[in-house]
Amino acid sequence: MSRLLEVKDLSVSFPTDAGVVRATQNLSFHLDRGETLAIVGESGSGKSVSSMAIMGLHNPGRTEISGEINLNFGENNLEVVSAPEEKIRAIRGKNVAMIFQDPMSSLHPYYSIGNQLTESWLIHNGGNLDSKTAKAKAWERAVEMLDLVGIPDAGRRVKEFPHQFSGGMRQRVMIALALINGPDLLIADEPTTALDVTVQAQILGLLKDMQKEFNMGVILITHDLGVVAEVSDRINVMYAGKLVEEGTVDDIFYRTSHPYTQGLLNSIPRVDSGVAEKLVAIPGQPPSLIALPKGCAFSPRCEYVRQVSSHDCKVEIPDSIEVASGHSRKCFLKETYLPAGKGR
Amino acid sequence: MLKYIGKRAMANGLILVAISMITYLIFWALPVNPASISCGTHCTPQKIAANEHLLGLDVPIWVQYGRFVKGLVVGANYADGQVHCSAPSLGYSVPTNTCVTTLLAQKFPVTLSLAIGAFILWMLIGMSMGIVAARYRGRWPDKAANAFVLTGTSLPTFLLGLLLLIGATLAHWIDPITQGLWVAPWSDPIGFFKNFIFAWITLAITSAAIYTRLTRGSVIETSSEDFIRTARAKGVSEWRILLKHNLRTSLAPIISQAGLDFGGLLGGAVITEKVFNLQGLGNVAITAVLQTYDLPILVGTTLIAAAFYLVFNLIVDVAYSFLDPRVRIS
Ligand SMILES: Nc1ncnc2c1ncn2[C@@H]1O[C@H](COP(=O)(O)OP(=O)(O)OP(=O)(O)O)[C@@H](O)[C@H]1O
Ligand SMILES: [Mg+2]
Repeated sequence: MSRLLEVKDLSVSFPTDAGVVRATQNLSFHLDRGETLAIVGESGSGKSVSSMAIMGLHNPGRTEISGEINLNFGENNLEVVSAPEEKIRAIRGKNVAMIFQDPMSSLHPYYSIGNQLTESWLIHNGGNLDSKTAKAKAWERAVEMLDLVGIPDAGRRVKEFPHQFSGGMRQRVMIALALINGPDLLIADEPTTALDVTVQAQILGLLKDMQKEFNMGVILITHDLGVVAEVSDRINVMYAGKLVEEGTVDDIFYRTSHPYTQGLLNSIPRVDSGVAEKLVAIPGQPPSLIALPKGCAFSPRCEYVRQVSSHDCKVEIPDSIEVASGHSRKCFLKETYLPAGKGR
Repeated sequence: MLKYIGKRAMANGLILVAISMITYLIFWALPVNPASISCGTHCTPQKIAANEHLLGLDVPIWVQYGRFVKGLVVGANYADGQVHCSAPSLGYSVPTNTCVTTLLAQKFPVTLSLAIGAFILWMLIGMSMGIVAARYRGRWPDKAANAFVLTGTSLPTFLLGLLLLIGATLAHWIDPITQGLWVAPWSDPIGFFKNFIFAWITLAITSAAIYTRLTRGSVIETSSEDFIRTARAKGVSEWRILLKHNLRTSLAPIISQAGLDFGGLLGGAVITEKVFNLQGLGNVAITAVLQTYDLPILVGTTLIAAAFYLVFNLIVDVAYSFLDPRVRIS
C-alpha cells in the first residue's frame, strides 16, 4: 500500500521586489495513516509554507513551486503541485484539512458557527441532495461534530457566533470544522500557540482522540518541543527552509544528531533531568531567506564548525545522511550523536 | 436598539438646531442687505425700511430666529400678515412669493430622482468594478479599473456634465428647451428618463471611480484575513469566497461611505442640477445664495441637507449592526 503523503524534493519560493524568498528547499518526507509527524523549527523556517503547499493554498501567480506532493486516499490519488485548482479544491476540507494557529481570527466573525460548519459539509456532500434535506443533514452533522469535540450544549451553541466562544472553545470549533468531512490528513499549524497552558493540553488530547476516531495522518507544526514529545511519532526539524534532521521522537530527543536540534533542545526546560539546568538560547538570528549564507545555512551560528575538518561548512552544503534507520541529518560532523545539555 | 436610535435621533435634533442658528448668524454677518437688493433702481431709504419690514428683518436677530422656530412648530404669518404658511413652516420667500416648505417640497422630487438614479448607477458600476479588480488583481481587468479610477476622479463634474450635455444635444437625444422641466416618471417614463440619464451619468462617473477604489481596497484588505484562508482550506471556490466571505466584511466601509454620500446628495447636487437645468434643491439653494439673498430658502435647504445627512448617518449605523453580529448583540 502506498503512503498517505509522500513529499519529494519540494521547493517553494516567492519572487518579491526585494528578491526571491526561498521559503522551502528540497524538502522530502512522508506520512502514513494513524501517524503523527511533528515539524519543528524557529519562526520563519518554512513550516507553514510547506504545509500550505500540501493543501495547494499558495497563490500560483506569486509562488514558484517545484517537486512532488503525492496524496493517496485509497480510491483517489493526487499530485498536488501539478494538479489543476478544481481537483485540489475537491480534496481541500474533504480529504485534507487544516487547523490554524489563531482561532480568534480564523473563524468568520459575521457568520454563525453552524453556518461555517455546514458550508464545509455542503460543499463536499451536498451536491446530490436537494437543498432542504442537505441543509437539515448538514446541521445535524454540525451539532454532532461540536458534540464530538466537547462543546457542551452543542444544539444551542451551533447557532451562536465566534465572539460568543472562548479561545479554547473556538479552537474546538476549528477542529470540528476541519474534521466535519472525516479527512484522511490533518495539518495542525501551531494549534495551541494562542491558548493558555491548561487549554493547550486539552486541545492536544482532543487532537489525539480525533486521530484515533478518524484514523488520520496528522502533521503537527509547533515551536513547542514539549508538545512534540507528548503526541508525535516522528519529528522533522527545519532550519531556513531545509529539513536538517528527521527521526523518531526518541531519535531526536535522546540521539540528537544535528547541532541545530541540539540548540533547540537546550533552549527548552527538561522535566526528566531532575536537576535545574541552565537554558541556553541559540546565538544569533536565522538567516535571511533572500540571501542565504553559503554552505550550510546553520554554519554562522554553529558551535561545531571548527571541529569539522573533512569539509568546509561555510562553503559546502551537507547532503542528507542516514545515521540510523529512519534517522537522518544534514551535517558534516564526525560524531553521530551530540550530547543533550552540552554543545555550548 | 430602539433606545439607541432614539438617543441618536435626539442628538441629531440638537445638531440641527445648532446648524439653523449658525446659518442665521452667517447670513446676518454678510455685508449685504437683502432688503436693498429687491428694492430696484429707484430706491429710497423708506423703501428699504418697508422692505426690511416685509422681510421681517427689522427686528433683532434672536427675534427673527424665535419667529422661525415658532413657524416651524405652529406655522406663521409673513409679509406683514398677508401670507400664512402652515406648520412646519421654514419661512416665507419674498422673491419667489411662496412658503419655503411648499417650495422645497415641490423641488424635492427632482433632487430625489437625481440622487436615486445616480446612486444606483454608481454603486453598481463602482462595486462590480472594484470586486472584479480585486479578484484579478494585477491583471488586465485590474489595470482597466485603475484607468477608470484615474479618469473618473480627475474629471471635473461640470466639465463632464457640459460635455455630455453638448454631445447629447448635438445628437438630438435631448431637447435643450424642455431639458430639465419636471415630468413625473409615472406620467411620462421616457421623458423622465431622458431628463435625468445624462445627469445621472455625470454624477455617477466620479463616484463610481471612488467606489471602485474603495471596494477594491477593502476587498483586498479582507482577503489577507485568516478567516479567508480558513474558507479556502474548506474547499470554497474563489468566487464564493469573494462574494460570501470577503464581501460581507468588506461592505462595512463601503456602506458607511454610501450612506453619507447618498444623504449628502439629497441636499441637492448644485453643479449637476445647474448644468442640466434640473429644478432641484441645489438649484434653488444656489439661486438663493447668489442672486436673491433669500435667507428663508437658504436656511431651509441647509437644514434639509443637514437632516438627510444625519438621518443617513444613523441608517448606516443601524445597517452596520445588521452586518456585524458583535454589534448586534451588545
Ligand atoms: N507569500 C509570501 N511571500 C513572501 N514571503 C513569504 C510568503 N509567505 C511566507 N513567506 C516567508 O517565508 C518564510 C517562511 O515562512 P513560514 O510561514 O513557513 O514560517 P514558519 O516556519 O511557519 O514560521 P512561524 O513559526 O513563525 O509560523 C518566512 O520568512 C516568510 O516571511
Ligand atoms: Mg507558521
